[in-house]
Amino acid sequence: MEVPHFIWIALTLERLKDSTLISESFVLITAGIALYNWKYLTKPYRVLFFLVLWGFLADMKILFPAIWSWSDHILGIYVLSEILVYIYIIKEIVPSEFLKKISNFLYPTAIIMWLISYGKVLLLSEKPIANGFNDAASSLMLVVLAAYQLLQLTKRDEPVFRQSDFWILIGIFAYFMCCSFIFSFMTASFRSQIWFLHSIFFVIKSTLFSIGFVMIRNNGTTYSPMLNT
Amino acid sequence: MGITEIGKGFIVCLLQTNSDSQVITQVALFSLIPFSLTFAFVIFIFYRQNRESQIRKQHAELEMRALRAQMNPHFIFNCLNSIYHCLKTDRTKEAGDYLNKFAFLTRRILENSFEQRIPLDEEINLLKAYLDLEILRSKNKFSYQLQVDEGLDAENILIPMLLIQPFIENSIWHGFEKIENNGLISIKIHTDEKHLLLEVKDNGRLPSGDKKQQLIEGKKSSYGTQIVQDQLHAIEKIEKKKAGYTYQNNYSPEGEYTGREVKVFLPLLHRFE
Repeated sequence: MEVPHFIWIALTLERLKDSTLISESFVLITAGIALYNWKYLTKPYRVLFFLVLWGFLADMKILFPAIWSWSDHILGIYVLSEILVYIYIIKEIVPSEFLKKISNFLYPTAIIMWLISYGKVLLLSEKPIANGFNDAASSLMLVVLAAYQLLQLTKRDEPVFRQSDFWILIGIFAYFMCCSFIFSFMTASFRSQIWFLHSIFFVIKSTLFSIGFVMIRNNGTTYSPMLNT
Repeated sequence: MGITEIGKGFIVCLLQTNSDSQVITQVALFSLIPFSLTFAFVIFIFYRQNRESQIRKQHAELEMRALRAQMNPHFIFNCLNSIYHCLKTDRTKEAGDYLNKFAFLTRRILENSFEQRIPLDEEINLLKAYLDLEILRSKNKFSYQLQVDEGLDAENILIPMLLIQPFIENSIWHGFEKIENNGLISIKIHTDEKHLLLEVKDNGRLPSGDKKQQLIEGKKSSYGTQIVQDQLHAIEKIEKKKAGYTYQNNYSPEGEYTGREVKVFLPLLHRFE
């Protein structure tokens, strides 16, 4: 089977770790836009901003292993914090009683899944390796939650593409939908070779988040309730 | 390092990854499946919102129809009440004139009752007929000025029937309650870029007692104005654009109440849009 040219280029870039570098530069753009619109950000959006920054710092481990040489667990901790925070953000972005109840079950489930995956690392002080099952299962959990909330957004009067919540949720949905597949392939030997795919989806996610952080200015300005002065 | 050297380096890289390349290619192409699913889901979201929006629009239109159906009996009740007052005070000739005008008005309302919105010039004619009716009833207690922006295409601009009539009615029934004559209602109709703006201003007096306090604080809401508020809310839902009204009580420099001003705004809608 002939290998498409663009994949070869991407693979070469991966070897040079450029794909991660490019994707991380998108994170900085997203964070910059969030900072610029800081006063408009609601609580879940501010939490998302800190998660984005925390992700950036954790990914520095991939780019510059020496920076985090004091801890091999940093990516493991990031994986747990990422899923917990995303559950929080998805739950808060469109408040609903149903998700509130579900999240009470999801938080401990995510922690237990993480402990099972990383238990060996913690108990036996083994070198952490990426765990395909945990990542794929967590991603699917977030995909289902984001999909549910996206369907809730359609009940609003405002067109979805004008809602910041839509861009954030679709960013989460797209990233975890695509990455759940990739993560399931993530054995240690294979990970680095398909990492460029992760970087592509990461760039897409960052771009969608950036649009969300821009669109937050529109919130509440389109259909205000009637004014009696 | 020349271009040839870079090229060599590139080829070395390709050769190094060649062993897994077939698998990686398949993975990369296979990853298009979740990507396509995501894309399909986004399209579904847009489709679903569009469908829900149409359902909401239909619902709002039915609501508008129901509100119009409420508005007509409300208006007819008030007119019949006025005729009764004329008859009660032995003003039979006036009652006859009143009935005549009322018949004309109800006929126009009936003719337009199937329309969601009517042309602005027709609405102006209805308002004039209504005001003439009220002037007759109140024995020339007040007069009115109607100012329509010259550039306004009144034939083609559409508006829900009798939209500002309840505000005019409030001015007459409450604002002019305590005055004998010289009442004045100024109606101004104009547009900005996106909205049709209708202003109703009176030089009425404050009623007495509880009614007075309620009117100042804006707590007093007549049945008619409540219907208008609901209608404007329904318009917001249908057109997905702002509609509403604001009002303010005017005072002289000495602090004396000099009347009320209501401004109604709704999306500018043309006949063939």
